[in-house]
Amino acid sequence: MKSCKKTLTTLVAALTATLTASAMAADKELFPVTYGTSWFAQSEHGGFYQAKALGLYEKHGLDVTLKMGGPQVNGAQLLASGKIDFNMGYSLNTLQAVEQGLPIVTVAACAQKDPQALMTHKGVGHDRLEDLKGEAIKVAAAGRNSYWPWLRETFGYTDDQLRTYNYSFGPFAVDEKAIQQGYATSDGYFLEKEGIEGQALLLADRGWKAYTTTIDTRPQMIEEHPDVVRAFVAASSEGWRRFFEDPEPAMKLIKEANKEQNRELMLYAKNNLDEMGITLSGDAANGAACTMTDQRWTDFFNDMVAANVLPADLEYTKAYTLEFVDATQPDQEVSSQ
Amino acid sequence: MRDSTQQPLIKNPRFVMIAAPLLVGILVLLLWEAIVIAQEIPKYILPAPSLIISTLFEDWSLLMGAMGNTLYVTFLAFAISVVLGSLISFLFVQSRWIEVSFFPYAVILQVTPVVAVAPLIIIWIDNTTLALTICAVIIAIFPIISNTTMGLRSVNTKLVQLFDMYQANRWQKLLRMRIPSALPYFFGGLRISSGLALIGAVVAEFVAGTGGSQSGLAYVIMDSGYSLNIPRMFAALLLITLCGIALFAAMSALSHYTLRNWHESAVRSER
Repeated sequence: MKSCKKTLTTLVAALTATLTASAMAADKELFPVTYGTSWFAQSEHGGFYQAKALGLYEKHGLDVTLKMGGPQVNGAQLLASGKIDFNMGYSLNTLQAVEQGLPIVTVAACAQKDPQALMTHKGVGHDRLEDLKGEAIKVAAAGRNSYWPWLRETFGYTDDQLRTYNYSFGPFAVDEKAIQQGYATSDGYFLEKEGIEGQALLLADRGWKAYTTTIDTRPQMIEEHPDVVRAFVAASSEGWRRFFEDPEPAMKLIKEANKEQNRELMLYAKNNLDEMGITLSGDAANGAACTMTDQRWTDFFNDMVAANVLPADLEYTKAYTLEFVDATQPDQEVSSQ
Repeated sequence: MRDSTQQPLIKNPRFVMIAAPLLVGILVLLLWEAIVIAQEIPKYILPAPSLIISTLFEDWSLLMGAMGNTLYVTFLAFAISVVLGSLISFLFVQSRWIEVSFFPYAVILQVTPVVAVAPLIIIWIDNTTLALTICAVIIAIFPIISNTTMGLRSVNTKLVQLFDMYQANRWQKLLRMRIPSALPYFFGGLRISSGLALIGAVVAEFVAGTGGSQSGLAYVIMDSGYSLNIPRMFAALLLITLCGIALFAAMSALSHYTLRNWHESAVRSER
């Protein structure tokens, strides 16, 4: 099957080459790649849609397809099995992939802060993560083996605080003592719509060091097409910078991909990404969107070992490579190619 | 049966009944294992049966704990379905009016997709175990109601006339005529319902995502998916299917044991 796919890719490449060569002799052939995102199109993925909308990927010689994820989509599995070339993941997931022997490597991280938060009501004494010790908290299955163990370890939460997450603001709205997981960048929008005085306690501001909105790929891809990986990282990083300058082109594409989105929500989330420093803070404060560091990976790994989520003997450095982070520097823009 | 010791095993119908499906199972597993090895399919795409079994033993305590929680909800839901379902059936056969008025609502229960209502039930009811049980009851109760009602109604008219002739009272009719003739139908309902109770428990748990000490097999499947532990996911799936088979077998055995002396479905035909 692999060889068949290869032949097909070569065939397509050859065909594209002939076509473009005849049409425009000077134009380089575009390398087709697919990036699988973690959810339906939203501002939280803005940089990639911006890069696509502005033709940054084409400038870097790539023909990028953005493939939306969804609730039942397991991006890491799709990536490992070769159905997609790049995947939007998060650092814990890559570490778990290494633990399970899946061929996945993170090459860039476009969210320096994970937007994961706990949502509380204002004015009821639930203003810091410390205040929530002993309180009932609604957490979905995905959180119970990722940030929950860290909360337990860091703030002394206990498992008897866990309640079933019901994917709704309804019960949250009627009970001002209610606490539930949330997404800091956009959940406030829905609360405001309902007239609820809520707040998002961002875990990342209290030492939760997971990278999210990562660019993951297979080691094989890095070996065979390092230039493609580099190009994808560079163009995406530039996309993110340009998204904050003017989000309109990305918003148009996002709306096309996901009809549920509306202008107000997209702008709301974009402003939060900006103000909360989700994309451009810490190591990326200088504009190097999607950059990563050894230190941050090591710290996060150690935290996860302390919280008993990962085994201490895991070869965690296999989960990432800093080979391409120089492509995230602002001075590496299109001129580099 | 008396001379089965002298016959070759292959002619023993009981042996064939066990051996034939077992052989099919073994062949399928061998084929699966062979394909995985020959095609070098990585374990995160499709784990080999041998790996699934070894994972089952490796994560034994975790999986057993989860299975215990899932079975707890299953049995609770099944018991409620049987009791409540039978009571409703008795009510239905008391009067045409009651049946006509309420039966459509029983059908509504049956056709409501539990995946769609489970999130609502979880919002309405704070106690998670209770919420999961209600979800499972919603889909497990209908076969009991439907089959038992039908059974209670399908009494041989000649029998009714006989009971009338001897001036049996309502209570005697129910106990000695209606209930016995309803039993085969009731057991048919039990067999279907037991499997549905398990499915209901698992589906509801998928929606609820209850982790921690209450986590069941569905949570293990979800969590294994998140942490990319695909062999464990298959091991949990295997346990769910084994539970389903065990429940079905238990219900069949119960049905056979109860009916063996008189009902055509259970009396061994002499050929």
